[in-house]
Amino acid sequence: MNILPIILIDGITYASWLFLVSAGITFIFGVLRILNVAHGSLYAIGAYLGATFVLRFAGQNQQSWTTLPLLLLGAIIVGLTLGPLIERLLLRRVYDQDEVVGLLTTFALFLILEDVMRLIWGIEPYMVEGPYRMFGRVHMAGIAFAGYPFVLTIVAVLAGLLLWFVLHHTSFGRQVTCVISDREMAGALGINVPRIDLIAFALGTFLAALGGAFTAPLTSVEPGMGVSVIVLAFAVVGIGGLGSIGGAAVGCLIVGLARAAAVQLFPELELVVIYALMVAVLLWRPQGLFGAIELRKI
Amino acid sequence: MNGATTHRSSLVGGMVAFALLALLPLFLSDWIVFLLALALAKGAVVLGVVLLLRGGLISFGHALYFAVGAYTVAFLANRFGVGEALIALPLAMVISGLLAAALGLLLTRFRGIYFAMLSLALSMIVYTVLIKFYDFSGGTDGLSVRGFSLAGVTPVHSGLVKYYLVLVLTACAAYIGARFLASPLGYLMQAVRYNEIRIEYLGASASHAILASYIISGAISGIGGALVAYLVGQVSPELAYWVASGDFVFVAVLGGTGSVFAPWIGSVVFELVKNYAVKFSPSTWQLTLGVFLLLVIYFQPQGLWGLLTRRRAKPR
Amino acid sequence: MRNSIRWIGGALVLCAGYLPCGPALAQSKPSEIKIAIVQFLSGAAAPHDAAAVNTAKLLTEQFNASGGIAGVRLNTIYVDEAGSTADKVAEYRRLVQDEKVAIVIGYTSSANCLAVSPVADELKTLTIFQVCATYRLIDKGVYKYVFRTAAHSASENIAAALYVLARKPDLKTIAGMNYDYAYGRDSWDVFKRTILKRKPDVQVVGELWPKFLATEYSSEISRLLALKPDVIHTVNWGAGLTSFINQAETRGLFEQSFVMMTTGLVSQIGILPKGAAFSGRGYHLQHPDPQTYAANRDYMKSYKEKFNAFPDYTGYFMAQAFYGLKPAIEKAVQAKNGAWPSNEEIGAAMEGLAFDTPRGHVLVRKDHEAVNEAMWGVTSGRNNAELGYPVLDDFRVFPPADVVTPEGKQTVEWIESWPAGK
Repeated sequence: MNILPIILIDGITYASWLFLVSAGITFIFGVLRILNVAHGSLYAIGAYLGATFVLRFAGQNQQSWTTLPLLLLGAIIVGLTLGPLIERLLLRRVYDQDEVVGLLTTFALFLILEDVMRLIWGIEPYMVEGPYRMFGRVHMAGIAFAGYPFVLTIVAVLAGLLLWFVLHHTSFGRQVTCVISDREMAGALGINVPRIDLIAFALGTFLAALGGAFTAPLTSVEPGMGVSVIVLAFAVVGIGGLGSIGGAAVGCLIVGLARAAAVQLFPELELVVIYALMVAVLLWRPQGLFGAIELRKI
Repeated sequence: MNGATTHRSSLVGGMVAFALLALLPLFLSDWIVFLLALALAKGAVVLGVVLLLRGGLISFGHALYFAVGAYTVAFLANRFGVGEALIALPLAMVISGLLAAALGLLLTRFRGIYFAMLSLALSMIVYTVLIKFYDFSGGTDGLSVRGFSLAGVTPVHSGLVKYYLVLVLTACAAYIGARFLASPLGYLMQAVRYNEIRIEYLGASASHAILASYIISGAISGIGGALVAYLVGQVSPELAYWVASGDFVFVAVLGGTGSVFAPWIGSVVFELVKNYAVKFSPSTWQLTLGVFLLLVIYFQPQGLWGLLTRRRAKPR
Repeated sequence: MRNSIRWIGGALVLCAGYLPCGPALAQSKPSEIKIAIVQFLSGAAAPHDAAAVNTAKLLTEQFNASGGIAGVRLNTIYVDEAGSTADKVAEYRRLVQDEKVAIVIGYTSSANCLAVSPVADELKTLTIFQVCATYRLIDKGVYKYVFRTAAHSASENIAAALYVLARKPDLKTIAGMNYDYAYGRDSWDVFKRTILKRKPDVQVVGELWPKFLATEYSSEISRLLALKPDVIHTVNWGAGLTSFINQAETRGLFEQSFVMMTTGLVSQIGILPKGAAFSGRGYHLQHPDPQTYAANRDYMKSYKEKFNAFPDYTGYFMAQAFYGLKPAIEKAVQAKNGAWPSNEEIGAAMEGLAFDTPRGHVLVRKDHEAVNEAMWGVTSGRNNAELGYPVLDDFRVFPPADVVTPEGKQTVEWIESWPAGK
């Protein structure tokens, strides 16, 4: 049995999931220069809201096409409401301060959101396996794969293309690129930096929630599901380079393939490879594979 | 205030605090004594974080040394049947210190967010190794720590003996921390935070200061972890998890970086608040801590220590 | 000077008043028996323990309605077991030293009960592990204050091996997919050893160790589909098992291999395809037959009335703890002519105690381990005509003598001492 195609397929589906989870965090860092520790919580809220919509509105027929737009709706609502709320209330105050302060603020937010989720959705797990079962199985490389992870891959690719298009072919995207390369200068040139900040954070939040919502059918939605996700996202963006979405995509592929290989060949190293790769890349190129070298200002 | 009076008043303050803490077990229940001991032991790790925060470096992976110290004790007790603290504690300190020296060499090149991320990644490697290599570390089951003895004696009232052991070692850690902060390398760390390039121009080495801080920081954190292993009687991989590191940074900010006592004030407040918040409502204690942290960040960035010492500044 | 002496004297008197007392169950009759039930209330494990928590509530009500135990009412508090083992041990100390709990029942995770046992002895607190299954608990010696009221993992996993060998005498390959923790490791070890003892030519083609309570199984299922074992053994439980069933069924794993689920819930039978092996650590809706065994029928009825569902095995196991605790305390009270017994005396009363429960007869031995039968069946897709619970076909009950580790023997030793190939 040739395991190479299995490693490739598993790797790519895992990488797509990782991309959905990490694209938002690297984008937010690029624009706001804040590493959002609460990103995993936003992912989880997306999962909870998506699951809630499916359970409430798809009713008995969980295995229908209506579940997918419902999941998407959950993610959009999280992005449109929580995103701006957090940015305005919490983050706006800390942009001019030390990076430390931003990190701590989002850590505090993470603690708060973990409990907010428990208070709103309770502590029992939610299962929405309908969409997963709906896509049945696909035969490839000699075994049957579930169809649903490929849906996730499609969603990830679409999200990536959307981001790329927005960044390179819209005026908003051009302004964002300016802000990413130099906040002060962008402001001096007349770009409405606070507005860009708001929209960027909302977009990043939406991406996190999208990842969560579409992961809900794959696993169970439960308290603490975002906690392990956040460090995976950190690993990927550390490898790919903070602020670079293309870098995040490459980082995801590297991590996804390495992990899939480990699972087949050295199962104990499944999680270790991810962080070992992160350390290796950071030691070689501190700014990540595609990150911009930051000049220290005195 | 000149250096000599600050030093002397800190010393007096420290001795008073030590005496008070030594008398407390007479008045308090076993549980609170346990909680205090835990807070004091963890305070050592927080001091480790503070030593680096002084240089503007945020270590989001200090749980690594905490876990290494704890697991050293656990391995000795569980796999080799050695529960003797006088062997395990120095060993934990040495292993953590050596590891800190090795990893510090890698880390001294980094600043800011990259320092944080790399330190996080290193501690996550330790976490994933502890989780996955079941036969080696017990996986998520962890290891139980039994057979505590001090100088060959297995104490009857071990909770009390452990408390005093923690207190003595805490005092030592505080003393070492104070001496370091008052030393040239310690002052250099503050300079690293404000203008590193000027240090290099003046002929000193920022990397040396950072490495020295990091090694001391790692060794002290290892002792903190070792003590916690004895107190709780069980170690598990979550000791190395990123949330544990985050909690240490939280407490460092809560206590403040202004003094060597601040980490312990922060740690005791944290453990007590957490204990009562959990009892009151298991689904809101993280919320409480998170809001608390935000309040500290926004309104009292110097932490609790800043609150306590504010009154000292008298108008002229 | 005299004032200082008065101060110090007064302080000393106050100290004496606040000095820590012994365990909460002192010699005089307490106003209440405070019991902490530590079970998973949150996360993927919560659905598994729900029946246990419900049963504890049900029985607390029922016992208190008839005056409690030996005339003292029960005060039951519920504590979430979720969290790391180190946290759970610290919390156990808090329950005993701060909340002044008299008895602790709980700890589903084998990792937690292994960790908590030495502390139970250190703090001299009566602790009942009503569902924790690792056989390792007594390998290094009996804990004085720790008791189990249900047979440990050896029984259901030896029974699994015997069951599958009877169904598939020309079994060729087996694989294990179990949570990577004490119970998962133990159970697979027992199952594997029993199979290899009885049929040494069986090949072990895979041993997979997903993380404890994992809910994502795509890589494990890929490997199992590639390995094509005849039999897959799993003790995974809770929402993790539900996820595994969903994902495995979608990808056709049940069609390819005979999957044996050792630890499962009634609701999980509902989503399984026909022909999968299910033990649920004892499927008590079917045995002892509720039509004939009143205790079972009554329990099923009152549980269904209050919670609108069938009780899972975890509920039955919690009932075993309560139905064992009651006679133990009553016996100890009687032995002391009405005075309240110490923890040690209640423990002594529990040793050798035999009692009846909704799942039948249970014995707690002198080594604090319990003896009861094990059972296995296969999913049939049908429900019982009278009472509506899902029916298992080819249902076999394994007597304790065949599957429970005898007193004084270590489980692995015992299995290895059997003659090969028989």
